[in-house]
Amino acid sequence: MDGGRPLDRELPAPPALPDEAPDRAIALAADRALAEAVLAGAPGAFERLVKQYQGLCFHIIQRLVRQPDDTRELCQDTFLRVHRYLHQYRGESSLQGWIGQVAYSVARRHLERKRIPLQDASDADAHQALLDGATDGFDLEAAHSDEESARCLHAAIEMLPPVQRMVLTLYHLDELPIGEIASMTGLAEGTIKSHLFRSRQRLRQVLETRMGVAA
Amino acid sequence: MNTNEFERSALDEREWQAQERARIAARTGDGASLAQDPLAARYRRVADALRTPLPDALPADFAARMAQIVQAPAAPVDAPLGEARFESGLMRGLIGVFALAGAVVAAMYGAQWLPPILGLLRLDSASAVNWALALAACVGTSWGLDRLRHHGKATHAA
Repeated sequence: MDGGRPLDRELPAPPALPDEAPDRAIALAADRALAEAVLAGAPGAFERLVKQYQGLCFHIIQRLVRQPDDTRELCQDTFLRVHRYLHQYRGESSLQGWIGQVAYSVARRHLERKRIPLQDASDADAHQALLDGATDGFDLEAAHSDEESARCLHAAIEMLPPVQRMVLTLYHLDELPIGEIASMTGLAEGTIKSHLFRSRQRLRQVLETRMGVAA
Repeated sequence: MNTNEFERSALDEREWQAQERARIAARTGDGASLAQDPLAARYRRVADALRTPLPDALPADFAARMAQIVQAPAAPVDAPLGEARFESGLMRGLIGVFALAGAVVAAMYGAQWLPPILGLLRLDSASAVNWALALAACVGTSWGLDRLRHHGKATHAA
């Protein structure tokens, strides 16, 4: 499933906050309370759960699938599954991680049915060529404006393989820790770091190459 | 580890840390912290682009619709409530029309059909036994396939 190579050496994770453990216990208690309310059929509980996690679900599925219609349908399928199998949630890990796992599995199955590989660039050269292709026709003069460089970067992000796109969004936009992304996707933490490192490095290279700056 | 491998690992770690500082600066909106950090500054635009919200989103009423769907599982998932009621009414109307047509046809031609059908259904007739066996086979196959389908669903649950 995963063609990414972990880095040669374990890269250090961002520093943890000192009071993370009590916060985590509080968050887990809140997750369990919400799950129990949904299972007990409390009015508004399931709607609250969907509201809380629909953004995450959308990011995972949209980044993997990219088709807005398919994304909406798969998000619906994800929450139907969450509702059906919520009794299996034990409250030992975060509800966010559990729902993310369901969303990832639903999107991955969709891609497998459509025979779309999660990793469609088998080596660094092919990947680089893919990113170069993202900015064909790029206006060098205009590249120095923020708007143009942002457009160039977004085009390059869209050209990344599905898993890399998703990992970047979950880490930067949703601010999920690497461990949480690893448990959602079943990928090793080293592989997640490798995806982050290499994707960001290539995005920078794409931008600088197009702007005429030495990388 | 030879010198090249060592240099590559050291470079990777230095660059990873620069990427992380750019990510944190993009999150806090702190541009000044990267003024003396040229490598991290080169990642700042990448970090900003990665924090940009995705252009599409789920409909505003998505959560309310999901709650409605799980409360009324019999209604079709994609059909609005009014549409589901209309379809259900239409279905009942069609069943009524078919039942009425069947009754009219039976009243008009029943006298010709009834004696041969009753003859076939006599318990001592070989045809009746064959039909009964065929019916049992159909019911058994449907039941077996249904069990298999449910077992498959349970196995592939999230």
